[in-house]
Amino acid sequence: MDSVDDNTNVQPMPKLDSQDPVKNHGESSAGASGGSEDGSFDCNICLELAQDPVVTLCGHLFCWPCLHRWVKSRIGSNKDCPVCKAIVKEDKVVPLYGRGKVGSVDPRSKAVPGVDIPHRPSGQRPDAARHPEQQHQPYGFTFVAGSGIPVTAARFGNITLSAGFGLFPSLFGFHLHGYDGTGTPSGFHFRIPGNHRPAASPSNQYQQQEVILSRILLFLGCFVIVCLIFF
Amino acid sequence: MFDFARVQKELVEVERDKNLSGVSIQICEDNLKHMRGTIKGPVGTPYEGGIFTIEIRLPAEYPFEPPKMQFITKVWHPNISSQNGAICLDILKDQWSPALTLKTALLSLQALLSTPEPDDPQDAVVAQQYLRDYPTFLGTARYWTETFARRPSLDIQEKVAKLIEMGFSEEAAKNALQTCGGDENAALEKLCNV
Repeated sequence: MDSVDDNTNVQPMPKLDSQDPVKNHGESSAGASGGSEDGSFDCNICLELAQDPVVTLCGHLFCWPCLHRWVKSRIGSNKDCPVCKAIVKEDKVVPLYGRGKVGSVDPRSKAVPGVDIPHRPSGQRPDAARHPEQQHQPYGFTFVAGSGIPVTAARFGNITLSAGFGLFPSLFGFHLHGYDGTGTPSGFHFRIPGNHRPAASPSNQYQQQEVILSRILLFLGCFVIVCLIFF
Repeated sequence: MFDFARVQKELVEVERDKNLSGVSIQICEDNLKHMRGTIKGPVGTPYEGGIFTIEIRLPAEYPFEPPKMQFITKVWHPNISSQNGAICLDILKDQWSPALTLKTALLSLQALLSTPEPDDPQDAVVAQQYLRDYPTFLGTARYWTETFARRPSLDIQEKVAKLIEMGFSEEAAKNALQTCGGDENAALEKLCNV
């Protein structure tokens, strides 16, 4: 009843990192038989430890040659997952890259004479998560030419801080611009851009807020010192 | 290319769970393409108490093609031919999946015995009887089970054990069964009347 039971619960995506096979299979995973005690990493078709493992979107593990052969063997029929009958598209399966040697010929290779098995589809790799520090562009102090008003501006990430003062006290301003990624300032409001940076975790945003606050205090301090000197 | 490794693995698994599942498989040819499976008649059906033998032939494409299965034991069932034992079951045809095994297929046959589908019959005569005269169908199915699917040597011992469980002595149970020709109900009546 093992495979029937498997139908009822979708297997979680097995993690094939360097640790797990050792933990789960003990010595058997390294054995030539390729079998495992609990079969968690066995192909659902050949019942052996999966070779060129791929996982369908419904989470079922197969050898790539086995799955390919099954999908190609069904002429005029739905291409469905052998375990749960969900639709399987060959370009939508997810390959699993473990730590084992890639390209080594497996003695259990199930090459079928006359059937050309293409290479496994490659994984769809999202962009690597970027460290918050790397997003900060070098910031500097600029003078806006022409106006005669010294302006200090610091830009890091999508936030630009600028502090300027001119001839009139009313012009003292302190501006904080949030950029929405297209380069247009979104206003004078204190705004942490979050919606266009889905990768930013709450802790990152918190850190960024802290940085901004410290900058504000720094500028305020500078401003007070400048006031003391000039007046 | 025939996948010997998979079939061997399946046979090991069947052998391991034999007592729990009630399913067993014997090899008929060394090339593993021909075997015989046995299942027990499900409890609460007219097939209860019977042991049914099924011939299994594996195509070269197995497990990508379904195994060919046929009842050797004669069965009175709407989806099983009463003439040659041919089976009408979707998973042995277009609904086969390579994730199924010989064991799950045999268990599916056991389930088929419990839940006949007279609207999709293999044997039209049986199916008609099932739909029009269910009591007669039950009687015939039970009679066929008694006649073709019983294993006397095993059965007598089971019956004796059953009667001993009810509180009769082993000798009395054996004698009663012998005089009644192995009919446990008649033997029970006889024992009660003594």
